[in-house]
Amino acid sequence: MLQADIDETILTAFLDLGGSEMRQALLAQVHSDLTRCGAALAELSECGDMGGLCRAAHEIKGIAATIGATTLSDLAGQSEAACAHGDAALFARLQPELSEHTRITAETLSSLMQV
Amino acid sequence: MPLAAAALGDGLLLVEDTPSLQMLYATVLRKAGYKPMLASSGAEALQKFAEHGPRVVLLDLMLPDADGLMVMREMLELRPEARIVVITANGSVNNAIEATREGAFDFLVKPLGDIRMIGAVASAFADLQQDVSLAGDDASRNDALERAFMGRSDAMRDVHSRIAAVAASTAPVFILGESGTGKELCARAVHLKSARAAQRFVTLNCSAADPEQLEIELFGHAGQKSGRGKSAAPTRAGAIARADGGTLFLQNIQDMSLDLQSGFLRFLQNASFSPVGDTRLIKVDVRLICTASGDPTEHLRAGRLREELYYRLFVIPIAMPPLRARGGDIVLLARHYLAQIAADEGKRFRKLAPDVEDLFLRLPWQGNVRELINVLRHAVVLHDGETVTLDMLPPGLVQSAPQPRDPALPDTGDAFAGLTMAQIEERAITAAIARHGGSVPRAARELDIAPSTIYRKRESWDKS
Repeated sequence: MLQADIDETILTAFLDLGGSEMRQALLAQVHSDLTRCGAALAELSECGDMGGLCRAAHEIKGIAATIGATTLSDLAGQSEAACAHGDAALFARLQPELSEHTRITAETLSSLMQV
Repeated sequence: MPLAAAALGDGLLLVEDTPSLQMLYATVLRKAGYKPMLASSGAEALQKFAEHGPRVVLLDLMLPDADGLMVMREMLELRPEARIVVITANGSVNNAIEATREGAFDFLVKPLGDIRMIGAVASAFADLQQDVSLAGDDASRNDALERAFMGRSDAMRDVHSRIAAVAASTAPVFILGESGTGKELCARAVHLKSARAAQRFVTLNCSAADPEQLEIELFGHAGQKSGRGKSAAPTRAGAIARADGGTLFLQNIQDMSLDLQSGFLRFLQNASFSPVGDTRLIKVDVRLICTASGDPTEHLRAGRLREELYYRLFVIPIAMPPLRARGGDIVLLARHYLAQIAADEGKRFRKLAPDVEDLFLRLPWQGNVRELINVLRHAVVLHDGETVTLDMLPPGLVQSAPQPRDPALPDTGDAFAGLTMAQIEERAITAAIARHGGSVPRAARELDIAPSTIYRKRESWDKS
């Protein structure tokens, strides 16, 4: 098990699509996307932009599912649903955990880039 | 390079706004030999769609600047023939079903499996290739149909008038005929002459899948979740959903299992269905055309076809005549295909020698038009010249033709010499059934006997 809750089989299949250059490029891109989405979550929740938060959570959900980060994907899915239904209170409860898992997953990928 | 994509050029557009997912999907597609154009927003996708005219689009439904469904609608308005495979996130399957109802070719649910993604893209290109000869404006459609259905024989005139008569209706059509007689072309002709011509024509061969797979191919699959949020069975649009507004062409209906026939019957009764793994009813508007191999009434008697389903489907029959019953059309078709094959193969052949044309008129053509094309291809590929002569034909073909009767001699019925009355009767009945595209009732009418007489005699032939 990696530092973040990532299904290694799915992640390996994802990273083994091409050679080492492709692997590094994919890792870098996913890391960059998750970092951007994490920053967007913080920024948008301050101004209460539920539409923007919904899109950010949706994007995290898609990336996380693709790399096998199932806990993050589930959390992002719940957060997206909360935003879509305008349930700001539920999103506020979910957001700290979502942000933390996003950060940890990004860090885990960053550590893999250096291997 | 996948064959379908190579044949059609690399008209693939991938629309995905998340950079890492775009990179991943593009990598998978490139590994499979495609060269996708990339777009990251709805506006960019529409611009590239208008400028480059991709034939297949992989479209994420959630885009930063636009609703993917709206983007799809605009694309299909610009070019209805484009095949659009929509991508949706897990939990947004309703949007995907909505998209297929509005004309999406298929839909994929994230996270995308490589095989499923490549399979959907390859199917989309293959579907386009099937349509390419009969696509285009009304004039080119009619032209393609005329080429496919050339023939001045009475038998083909009947087919033409039948197609014209049934095209305006929405009633199910049952196309009868031996293998190689052009049943699929006939089905396409009915579709293209109908008010549904601009909509999709979806083909499903019921003998090409096991019962479980066929159920999914027909009704689609709503997807199933296993542990850890992974999809155990991917979501898939079935043939019925894809044919909504258009025509569904089912081949070899007798090979559908009896259980599935019950489910299909319910769909016919209610014009609605539920994908496998789902309980929601989806209403559709589909015109149905089907075929069976051999005589459908025989499948009915043998219990391979449910009686209620048979009577629901066998509303308007069209019998495609065997080639041997098309008289002078044989020469017309042979000349047409010779020109086409010679062009394909880069050869000079322009005509058939008179004795070749005479032979073609006498051959039984058990494999129908397909056999005729094979014979011509054999001659063209292995020889050169301007005229196809008897010695260029496949070995044994000349010997397989009945000898022409000397017109100067009276018809003494020598063709029956040495045969018993029972054998003559069997030949006459078999020939009549063949003339009527496998239909026993029609053959019985021609011979002025009851269909049950033919069935009884057939049973006795089988036993002997």
